[in-house]
Amino acid sequence: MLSCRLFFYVVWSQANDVGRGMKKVSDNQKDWGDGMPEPVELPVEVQERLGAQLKETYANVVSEPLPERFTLLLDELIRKSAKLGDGQ
Amino acid sequence: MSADRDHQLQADLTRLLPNLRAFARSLAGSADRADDLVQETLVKAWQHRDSFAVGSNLKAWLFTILRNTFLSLERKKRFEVHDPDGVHASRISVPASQVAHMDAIDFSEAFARLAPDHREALILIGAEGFSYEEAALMCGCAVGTMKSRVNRARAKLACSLEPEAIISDDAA
Repeated sequence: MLSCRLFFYVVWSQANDVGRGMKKVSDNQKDWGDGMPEPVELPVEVQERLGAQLKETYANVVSEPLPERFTLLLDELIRKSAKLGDGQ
Repeated sequence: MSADRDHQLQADLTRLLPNLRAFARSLAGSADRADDLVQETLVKAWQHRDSFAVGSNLKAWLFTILRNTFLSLERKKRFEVHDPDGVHASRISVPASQVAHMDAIDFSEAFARLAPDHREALILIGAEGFSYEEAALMCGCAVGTMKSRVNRARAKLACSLEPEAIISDDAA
């Protein structure tokens, strides 16, 4: 009977140890990544290549012709301001 | 505000529009949503133009307005589909493990699959050339957090792309 109780005590305490260990890693999405180790820094040439691809992709969007709606909107805003007198 | 200053602001906004559209595209994904976001940003910037200090960084100011507008719309959208905890949104996104095992995707696709805060960190630092300090201020986080986001974003991009896609053409 005593050995049976001792067995259950050992199993219970080990389970608690595991549980305590698991709590050390947060499963909160907001915290996720904060407690994670930083990834190994990429080699400089890979970083440069990724940077060049990023700039190229970004430049493609930047160089797109502007839709007319924006110039019309800005004209409208400046016209309204002048009419209301806050642009005088 | 003087008419001269209004005209100067109009010229500056027009000059920065391409960058605003590109940043909006990186946050919103689709071109239509991005342009709606830019439009709202322009209206807000105009309404609050008195609060902008002449001589300070107009681009950073506009990017911050755009970012805040985007986050506000996202929050609103999340509650409209009764998803306050983001459970529905997380089901829509692609699990990182799947991304890591994809064989061949191009840079744009790999970039689109990054987390929003990683995308904006890369754009602000890598494409727009803001300093880590400026980007951290715009995103309301610590400089170290911004550096970490850039580092993680690069690592995820590298994992998502085929080796040939990120190794220099000269070396191939």
